[in-house]
Amino acid sequence: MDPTLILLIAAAYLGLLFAIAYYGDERAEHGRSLVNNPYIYALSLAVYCTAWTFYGSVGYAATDGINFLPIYIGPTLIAILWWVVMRKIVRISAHERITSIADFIGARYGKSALLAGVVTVVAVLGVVPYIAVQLKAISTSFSALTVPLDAANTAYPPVFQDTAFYAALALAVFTILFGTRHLDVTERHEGLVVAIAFESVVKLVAFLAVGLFVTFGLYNGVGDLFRQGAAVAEIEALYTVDGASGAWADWVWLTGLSMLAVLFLPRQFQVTVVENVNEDHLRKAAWLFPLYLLLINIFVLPIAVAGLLHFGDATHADMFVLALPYAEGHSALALLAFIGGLSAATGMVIVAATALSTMICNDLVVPLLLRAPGLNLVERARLTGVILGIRRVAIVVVILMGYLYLRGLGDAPSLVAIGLISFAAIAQFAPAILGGIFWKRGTRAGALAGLLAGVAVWGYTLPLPLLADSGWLPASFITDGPFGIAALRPYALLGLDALNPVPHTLFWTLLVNGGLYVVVSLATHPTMMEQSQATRFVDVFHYADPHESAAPWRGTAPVGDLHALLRRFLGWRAAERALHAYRTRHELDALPETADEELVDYVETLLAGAIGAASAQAVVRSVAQAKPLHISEVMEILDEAQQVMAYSRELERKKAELEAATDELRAANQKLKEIDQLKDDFVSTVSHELRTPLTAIRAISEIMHQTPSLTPEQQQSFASTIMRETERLTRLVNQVLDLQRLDAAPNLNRAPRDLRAVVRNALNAVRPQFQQQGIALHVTVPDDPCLTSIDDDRVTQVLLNLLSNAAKYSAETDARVTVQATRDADTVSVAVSDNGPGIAGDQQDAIFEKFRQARNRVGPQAGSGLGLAIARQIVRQHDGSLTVRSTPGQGATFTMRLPRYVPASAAASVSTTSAS
Amino acid sequence: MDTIELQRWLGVLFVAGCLLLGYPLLTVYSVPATIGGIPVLYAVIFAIWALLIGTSAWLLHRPSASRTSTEPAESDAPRR
Repeated sequence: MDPTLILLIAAAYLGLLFAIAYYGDERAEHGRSLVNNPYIYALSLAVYCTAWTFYGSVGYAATDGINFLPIYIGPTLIAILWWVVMRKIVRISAHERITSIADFIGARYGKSALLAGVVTVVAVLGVVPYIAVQLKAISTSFSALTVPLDAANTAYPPVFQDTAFYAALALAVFTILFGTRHLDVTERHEGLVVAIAFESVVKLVAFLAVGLFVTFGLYNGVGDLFRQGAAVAEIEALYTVDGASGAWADWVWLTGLSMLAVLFLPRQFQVTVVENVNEDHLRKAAWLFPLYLLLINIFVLPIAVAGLLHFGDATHADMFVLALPYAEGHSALALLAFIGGLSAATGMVIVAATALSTMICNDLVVPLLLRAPGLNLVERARLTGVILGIRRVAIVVVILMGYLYLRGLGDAPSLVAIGLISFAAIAQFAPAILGGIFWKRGTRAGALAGLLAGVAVWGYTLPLPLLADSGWLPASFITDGPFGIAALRPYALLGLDALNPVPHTLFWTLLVNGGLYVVVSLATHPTMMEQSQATRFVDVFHYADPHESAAPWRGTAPVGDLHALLRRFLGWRAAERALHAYRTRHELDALPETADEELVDYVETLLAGAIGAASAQAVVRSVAQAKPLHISEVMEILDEAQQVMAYSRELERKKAELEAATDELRAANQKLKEIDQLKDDFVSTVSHELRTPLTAIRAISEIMHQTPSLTPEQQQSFASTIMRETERLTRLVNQVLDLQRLDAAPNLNRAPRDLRAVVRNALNAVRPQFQQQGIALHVTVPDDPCLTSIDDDRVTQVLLNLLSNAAKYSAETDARVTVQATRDADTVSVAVSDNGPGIAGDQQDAIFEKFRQARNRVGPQAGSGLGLAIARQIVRQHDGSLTVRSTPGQGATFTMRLPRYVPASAAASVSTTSAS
Repeated sequence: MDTIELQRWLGVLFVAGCLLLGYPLLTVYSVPATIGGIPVLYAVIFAIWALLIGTSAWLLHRPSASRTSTEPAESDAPRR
């Protein structure tokens, strides 16, 4: 076929593409977007199907049969989960104005410029070979139509006669025109997307046309085709999966790999996430895209079988799609196939170059320029041009790198091999992204460690052996390992040779990558910014408004400065539009002079769209009054928490106090009730006590009054009874008065006395009574004087009370009372013991209580029961103590202790004064 | 069926798809036989594939699946 004709047609096709893209942009300019349409969106996703699919699948199928399918089954399966996973990524990216996958990862881990840069480098490493594949496909398909198949592919022509080179240039121009037309805050390229959707239609139509022609034109339907193929053993083997060669393991691994690829390939991220205008489009795309994959794959095996039948072997299997109709003389169909392949290749290159250029610009070059000393990028008047310039250069560089890769590596690996190597590189983003959107604890250090280690293992186990294949390294590098170390063989790391190279790499990289991501994340602590971003990402569905979730960095800035920034980075019109939108949304007539935190955040997010999250952060902070979450604010927050805690503690304390007070009151009340009861008892007892003698006196008086015939003896006896009873009454009344007086105001007449004398006086008073009752009295007093300052009448009263008690309660037979006076350094004391029944332990305190004894009275002999209460009261008023010690059944000992009196003038004289 | 419920069903479908289109179930069909002239494995895979697409389309487009009341920010038309 005439090369000029083909070139003309190719040029015409590219021209049509330009026209469509231009039309799409025009529509967008006038607000009648073509892209706001789920079908356009779903078709644009089909950029997944590149020349690798268009030509490579058939090539793969011709050698490995059905094994080519996992690359498309994976995306089909994961598309089912798009509503879960991808919708979240889309939502996050909309909120954060994410412009690329590098931006996404960097933003998630605390707007890390370093991480975004690393991701960019990995993406470039992974995607450039893929671009090379597309260029190779274009040039191969071109030569397949212009020179005989066997003559093609032998050697590369000089650069300036190389179709691939011109294809690269043309694609670079197209990409620059539609990928970097203007700087948009959302980084969307509507014209580009429309063109890509159109290309998807073209390649599908072309492939189906070839498929239908082969199946129904060359054969009588699929049944016939497969039956003829089955006659050849090698072809029939393609109909099944050979379980022996590890093909099923490949199947599973490749399914998983392609799932990750369709999620994270930069070009897929570009069309699925960045170019998405409406989240709901995912709903249709989630099944339309798999449907597209099904359709474009349904004729792959038939074409492969037909190609094998026609050409006899798989040497040129990559070109069967083109070569079959061409060899059968259907030039038009062959041309259509060529255009289909061209569209598949161009679509991939354009989108990938756009995505990579955004990443290189936003996440690699701009951060470096911003940090470059002396450059002062922020101060420059117009940066829009600079940024677009950087992107244009990046596009050219990326595409030319693809071309150089193609020339450098020669034609050693097949299309599929290079594609899978690319996929495996991209799969390294999976832990950081999937972990990042579902696991808040993932940290920047974890993501970085995992990614770097994963990429290192990837580089060692996949691209490096290719250098050996191309002769750059000795072949022994693969077979024996570097320096003969078998454990380091790139295809059998640590001796693991059960897997084919790609699954082998995938296993090791995901293990190392995911493992380090988790372990390092757990071992490190996220910064405030990381934590905040983690929440914004993981909990994205909890926020209605992206600016609602307050950033941890809080600052204010002059609006003028922010405005200037927006103008510099976005251009005048976009800046005005953005601020107008802000005013409208907040119903403001004019912006305030100083932007609050929300507006600062808004501007930062807008800039993030243009230059990436990390750079935007740096730029905004350069003008914003740095008001990071200062330690004082942290303290303030903590203070608030502490205050709340203090309040609650205070409340707790008050409550406890109240409870204690209540308890006290209750106890007091109880006590009062008890005392009241005792008083009642006392009054009734006293009344009773008063009445008993009164009754006796009255009765006797009556007898004496009514019986004049009484003998003088009788009269004498009655009179003495009356006297006794009267004395008893007097005593009782005196005691009550005593008690009253003691309670009211003690009136003591204290003077230093010798306690021994007081004891002696008291004993003299009671001795006749004791002798009369037959009670033995034992007295022990020290030889030395026991001086104490007392009112001796009162103390005598106490002693008499103790002695009469002792007499009253001593044993009935062999009664004995012991009185013992002692003195020591500080005190003098008198102990009075009896040998009576004693006092039970629980009664020992009670007997001293004022009214208590009144209740416990037994026996006719008992006194008023006030005696001990009065005694203790008196002793206490002398600063002494009155205690009882008793073992029931062995008597009781009452001890009175009084402070010893030491004359201030002559302490010594006391000890030398001898008495008695 | 709200969003959460829909997500659960999609999860079930995903797992089912992984099982149906993966090892070891597919080995059953990896036999040198044909259905209507088409190799069994090829036919079965495409049939399951189509079934998955149909089921997920049905799940995603049931009238109740559009209700997303559980999430506040679902209202908007194109984001701009």
